[in-house]
Amino acid sequence: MARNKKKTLRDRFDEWLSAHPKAACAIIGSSVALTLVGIFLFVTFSGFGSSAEFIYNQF
Amino acid sequence: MEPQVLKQRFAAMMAGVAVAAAVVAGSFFVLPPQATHDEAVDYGYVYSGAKSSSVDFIKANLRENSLLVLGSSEFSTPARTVPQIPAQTFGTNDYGIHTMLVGEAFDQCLWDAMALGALADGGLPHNKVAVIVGLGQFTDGGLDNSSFGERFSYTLYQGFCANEQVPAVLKAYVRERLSQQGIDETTIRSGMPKNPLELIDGMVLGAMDDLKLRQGLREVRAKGITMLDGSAVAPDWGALREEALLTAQTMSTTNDWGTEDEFYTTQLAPALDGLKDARKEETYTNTPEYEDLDCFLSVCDACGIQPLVVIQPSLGPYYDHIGISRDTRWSAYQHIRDVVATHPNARLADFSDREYEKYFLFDIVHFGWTGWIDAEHALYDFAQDGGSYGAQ
Repeated sequence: MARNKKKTLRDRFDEWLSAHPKAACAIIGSSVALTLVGIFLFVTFSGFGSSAEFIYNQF
Repeated sequence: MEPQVLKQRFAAMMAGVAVAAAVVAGSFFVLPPQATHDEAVDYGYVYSGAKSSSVDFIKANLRENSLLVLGSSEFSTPARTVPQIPAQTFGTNDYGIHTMLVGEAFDQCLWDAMALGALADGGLPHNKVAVIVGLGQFTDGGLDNSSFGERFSYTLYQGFCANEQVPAVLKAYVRERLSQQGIDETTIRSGMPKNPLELIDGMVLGAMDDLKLRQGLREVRAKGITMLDGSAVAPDWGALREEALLTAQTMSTTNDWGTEDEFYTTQLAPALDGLKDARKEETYTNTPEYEDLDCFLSVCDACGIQPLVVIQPSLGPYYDHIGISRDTRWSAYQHIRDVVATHPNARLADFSDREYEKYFLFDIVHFGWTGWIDAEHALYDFAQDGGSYGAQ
């Protein structure tokens, strides 16, 4: 006889999203926006700004 | 999942994309355009990669009496170490010349060729440029791809490609060299787009580089010095050199080579024993740098720009110690001279015979107290009358 499967965290989260459609849309929208802005900031500005330093042992 | 829910969530995703796009677009309004500057401020002496890569900023700050000087790490020497650097000599005295120093550590002749191609589009003040070269950039194997990639500027490359005065053969050479230095083909092709996709690549890469430079230039604008524009006087080079010698004698007291005390005690002395003959395999021949120098000078010729090539010496006793013989170094200097000699319009300020002159360098490869004064003398003469100082 099959035992009742325990709900995973993801199952509960999906249930919660289904029960709160407006909150689900807000979370999805802001997650997408934050991810894209984060990628943009990283690709555009990371590792930039400081001047290149001369390394004596290279010569 | 129901279609209605799917629709709602897709709409939310699209809204997220729209918000992100708005943030990206907004950043162009928050950061001032590259050319933004204060007319009363001289930014020519600021050591910065952002400044050196910004065609708009450099061109906006070139004045009638400016001399564009391309170089690399020698521009990073602080005034507290060598008070004779251009920022002091030309920046705090009105000698009727402003030097616009462009370049950072690891900027070499290929970078210089692109920079000049971008900056000379439309001409330069008096159509002159000076470039400082040293043996360090002619080492076997050439510049490693990692260092080159860090300093590669898409804006300069795009400007170089857009300059119609630069012949196709030089553009093809630069593209080939960029490929050898590890720059990806998408970036290289987008400089001279042949289809809509490459055009879009170029627009995106250009916009991203524009934002980087806008961000970096905020720091540059804070570091400018007050512009001197009064009644110019001619420099007394003899007095400046005597003063430089006195300064050097107070700042180099711990070694016979004439290098600066702190550099000697913290960098050089601890390493000397381990460096004995460590570089005896060096030949200064196995490098594309000579061809890159030739390319740079060819870009000058094509754009109607007269170049002054300033040869910065290396510290003779140190290079003897690490096993690179005087003959090897001399051959390399001669190779540089030979390349310059193939361009009749080019002038040469050759300081390679100062390798053993005390205080000429403050470390092993960079102009020191008397070295900077003599180099500035050469720059000044070149800017004034076409370069009688050390000219061919």
